Amino acid sequence: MKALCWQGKENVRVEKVDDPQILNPRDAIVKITLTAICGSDLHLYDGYIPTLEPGDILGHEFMGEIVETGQEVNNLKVGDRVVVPFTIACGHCYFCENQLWSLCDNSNPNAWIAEKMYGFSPSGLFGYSHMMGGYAGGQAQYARVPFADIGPIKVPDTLRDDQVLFLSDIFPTGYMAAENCTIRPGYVVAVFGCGPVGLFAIRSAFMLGADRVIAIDRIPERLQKARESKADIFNYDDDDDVVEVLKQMTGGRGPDACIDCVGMEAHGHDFLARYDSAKQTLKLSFDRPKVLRQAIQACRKGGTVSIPGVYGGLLDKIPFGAAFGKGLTFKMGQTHMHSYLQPLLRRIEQGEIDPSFVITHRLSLDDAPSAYRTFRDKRDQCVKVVLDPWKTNQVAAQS
Amino acid sequence: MSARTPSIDFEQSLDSVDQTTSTVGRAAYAIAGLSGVLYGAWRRDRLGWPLLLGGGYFLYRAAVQKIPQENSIRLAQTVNRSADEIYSFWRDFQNWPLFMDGMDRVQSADSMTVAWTGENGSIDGESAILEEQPGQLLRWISRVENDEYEAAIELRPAPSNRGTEIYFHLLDRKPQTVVSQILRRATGDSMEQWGRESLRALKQLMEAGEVPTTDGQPHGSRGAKGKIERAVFREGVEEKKRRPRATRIPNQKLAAS
Repeated sequence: MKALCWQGKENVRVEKVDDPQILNPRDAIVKITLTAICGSDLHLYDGYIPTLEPGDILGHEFMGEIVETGQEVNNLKVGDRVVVPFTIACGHCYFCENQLWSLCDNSNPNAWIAEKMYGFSPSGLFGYSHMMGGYAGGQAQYARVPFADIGPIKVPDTLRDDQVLFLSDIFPTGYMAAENCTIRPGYVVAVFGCGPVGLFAIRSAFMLGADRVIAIDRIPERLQKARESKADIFNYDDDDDVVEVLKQMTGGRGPDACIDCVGMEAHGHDFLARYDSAKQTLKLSFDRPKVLRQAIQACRKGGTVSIPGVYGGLLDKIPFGAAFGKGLTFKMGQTHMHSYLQPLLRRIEQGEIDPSFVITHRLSLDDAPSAYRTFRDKRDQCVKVVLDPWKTNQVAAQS
Repeated sequence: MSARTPSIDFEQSLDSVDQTTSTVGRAAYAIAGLSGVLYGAWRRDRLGWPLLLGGGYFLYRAAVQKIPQENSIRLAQTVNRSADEIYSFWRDFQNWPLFMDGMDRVQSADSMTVAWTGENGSIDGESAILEEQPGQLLRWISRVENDEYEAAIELRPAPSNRGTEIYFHLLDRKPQTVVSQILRRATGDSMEQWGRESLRALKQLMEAGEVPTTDGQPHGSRGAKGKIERAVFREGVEEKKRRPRATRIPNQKLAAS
């Protein structure tokens, strides 16, 4: 089959690899009909996530058709159309039984690496470094799905692929980020970063009853999509003093909750932002936590900082004194995917949201290497790329 | 001590070993050696050189002296199953290759002893049960080639139906030098890591019904860097062994959910 393989920093290529096989009784094989590039894939592309190996197949947002099931998978049959959640969970450990799916005890074959770095191991993830299991990802024509009796959700034929694909990650991730804000009537939520997760966080915050959402970014087309999602927008290229501007926009109170949808590769203009970049270049740090600092500083007293953006290692110059002094609540982590699949599918079916609004680029898997670059550099008004693994290269087809 | 404390105290057998002499001996070698080397190097005259050489020899002795020390390891894991289920799974020798890291298959077994092969047929081992208290404690001894280790599991209920706490004690009697200890720790080839991985596999089997794996999945070309990283992350080892990695455990919890 064809698969997108990581070969080093800023170096991905489509290679011919073996088809996946059933390896365990609870596995299934999915023939992928649509897959996507996630913002967090860019951290891998840029080489900031440790323990990736050359030859690893990337991708954790995918859906398709079941073509084979292991002997213990009784709830799926060949031909079922499914969306696969990006976190892998066994369904029977303490964490799964308590709906903390992304913290599953039993799905990471390389748990020892994560234990050395984090004390304990979170769940395995598709295509996201060997510390997180080393599972082959879904930017490919087929994928093996472990614990398939627990994860994949069947989707009705009335919905198109591009309407349900984002149940695999970014819609639930944006939704959980908003849910973590424990929104109450009158709440103002600030969303830092209007990439796909930020856009879903904005719409989810409104679904959960936020009075106002303030969206912060500097890319015009992303701010435009945020505006279309009914957020008030703020371009930080106009004024870098985000904390003061947010105060001005909220009658001096500050936002009730701040959502950091940026994570480890934040951009900024000030001294600390340059300091972060220098440290990252020198491999002294994985993370540039500019946005996290701003969110802590800007959040109102007693407010919540919700962090769906990915961080990897030891963060520097975090104003923890401010967090303590203001009595902030922090909520973070990989999305507990399995809890959100059914409820969010229902919202899509009922027409409350059509997740395909984020898509700007529909390409073939062969286009993926150039699409990574376009998406990373935010060229060509790129917000979200979906890839059809069976379509032939558009550029090649045109020439 | 609670009423559930085992009658033959494994803890006591750990503490009964007197390691004082060997430790003091080694420390004496090290101090004498270091003093000799430093003083000799400072003098660098007719008396200095022999002192330096002698000190070096003492340092060497301190480093390579094989100490018949007993390396005691304690590990713990909570498994979301009852103590009786865990005990009966562990007590059945036929299940050992499913979760004991490096064990391939059981050759022969009676009720108290078992002979097995491991590491792709390259090692033979045998084990014997020393003590059993169903649902509470199992203690055994294993001989692998020239090494010998003693092990015990103690089972206690975890609070508010969170399953069972397994306390895994290992007593490694393999004589080790400082150098071999450092090497084994650096390469992860330690008794402690063996115990940790075995306990983890048991938990995975008992809770999820299988041990998660990526061995045998597709990948692009690895290149030299990728191959080295795989070795460092200890991946791909199982690919050749094709060890059984799943089992059907009669499991009410799995069936109910």
